[in-house]
Amino acid sequence: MFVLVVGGGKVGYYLTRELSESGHEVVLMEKDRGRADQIADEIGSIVVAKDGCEGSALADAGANRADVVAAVTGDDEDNLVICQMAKHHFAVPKTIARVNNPKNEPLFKHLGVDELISPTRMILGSIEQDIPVHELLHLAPLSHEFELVEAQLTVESPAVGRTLLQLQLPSGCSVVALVRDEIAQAVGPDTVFRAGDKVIAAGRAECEPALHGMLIGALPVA
Amino acid sequence: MADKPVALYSRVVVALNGGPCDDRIVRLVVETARPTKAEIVAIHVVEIDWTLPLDANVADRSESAQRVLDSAEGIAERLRGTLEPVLVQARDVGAAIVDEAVERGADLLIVGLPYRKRFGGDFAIGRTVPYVLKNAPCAVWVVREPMPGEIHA
Amino acid sequence: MKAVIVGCGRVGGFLASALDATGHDVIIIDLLTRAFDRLPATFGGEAVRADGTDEEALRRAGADGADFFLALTEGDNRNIMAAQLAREAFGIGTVYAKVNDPMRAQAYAELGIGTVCRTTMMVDALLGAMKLPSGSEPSVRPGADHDHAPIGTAAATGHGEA
Repeated sequence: MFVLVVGGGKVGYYLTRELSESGHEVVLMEKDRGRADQIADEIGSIVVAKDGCEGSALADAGANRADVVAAVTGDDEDNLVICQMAKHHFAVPKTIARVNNPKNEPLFKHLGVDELISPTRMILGSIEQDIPVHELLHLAPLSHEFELVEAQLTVESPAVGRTLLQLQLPSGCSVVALVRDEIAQAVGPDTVFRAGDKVIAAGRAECEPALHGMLIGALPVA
Repeated sequence: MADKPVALYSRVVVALNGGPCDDRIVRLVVETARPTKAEIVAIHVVEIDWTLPLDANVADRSESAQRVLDSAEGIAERLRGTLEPVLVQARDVGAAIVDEAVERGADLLIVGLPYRKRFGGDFAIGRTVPYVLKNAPCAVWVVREPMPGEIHA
Repeated sequence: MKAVIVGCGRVGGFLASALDATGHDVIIIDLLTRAFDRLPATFGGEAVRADGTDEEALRRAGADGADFFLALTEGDNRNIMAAQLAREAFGIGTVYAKVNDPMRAQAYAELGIGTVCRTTMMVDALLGAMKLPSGSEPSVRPGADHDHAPIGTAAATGHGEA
């Protein structure tokens, strides 16, 4: 795979190094000559000291044959333009933009950037995951209106001490697996839930209140 | 004090750029190597820009690159010396030369430097020679070409 | 007509006052309040300190329903991003971005953003002053109809006026 990384800040530097060490062909574009030379000293002659926003510079760095262009500068507008030039002018199959301001995500998506990486969103996400509130954690949408969720069982959970069969889940949702003492396991009809279990369930959006009621407890009054 | 050579080299890497200086450098390296029967590696680097994969088939350029090495071998033979020709495709000439010197465990690296001026008239040393001087672990000799118009033997 | 101008530099400021003087509704936006010093005391439009690449900020500034949107800051990419917001989020019909890199100017014209390139414009003006034929690159490119223009087709040729 040939990857063109634009922006030699910390993200671009470590990304380039990792890609190179894992055997990919990679070139890093950094417009500041001093910074470019410094990086080349550390990771070798895979740095092009040119501005990746300039069309001709992208051409010189081999955008015409890149499989992936990753725009990871600190400026969202630059990352957008780099990805759009890569996609439309050089027909690069996959473009990835770092989005510093989460507000820009919908626009970037709409304008055809294939993948968005948002440091702000990631940190927010991990903060939310760390908060031990008694809520269903949305892991991933499986399709429109069908979600994968996770519930942390506490001693107050109605499910504790009961089997999956006894729970009588509503139709439209199912328990997929549970994690007990850091080990994931399948859930059979006779599996007894314990406090501390992490239960992974999938279900339609309208089943969520029922799932919440059984796995965590009645919904708090709003 | 005996008449010993000033320095003893056992493995010399010489970088050839295909310029008018090559002839002189090959003669120099063969004579330098003679007293110690030092091995000589002659490297010529074909720089591949990023628009092409590193292993791209650049037939026309490798042909002229081969001629550079052939002519070096010819000169060495006439002086009853031998050298090992090495043709390399790389992104950066300086890094490729230093890598070769390191890999071969060379104790001497010889590079040529064309005499060029920048716009404005300042002498231009380019990027390769400073890189080699900064990064090569062994001794480095730089052979600067004569100024254009100089009469040389 | 209602015009939104992002960037109150020499060109943006001058254009804003010219449009205002001829009776148009003008909203001019800049990140720095000081930039508005360029506007004449008689300027009757609105000068708003805001980020022209922020959809919410543009909405608050009153970009909805504008007839023209002109992104004229010093940054090619800021202009491109603002112009695309104007086109995609506000559906403004006539959108121009100042893009001084001729290659980007052409690429975005093909993607439906009108572009004005100061580089080729100056060169053409100077060639014209020397009574020499102008260069082959148009300095003003109307955005191609971006719903239909296949990527890679040539942009429409510029219409000489600058």
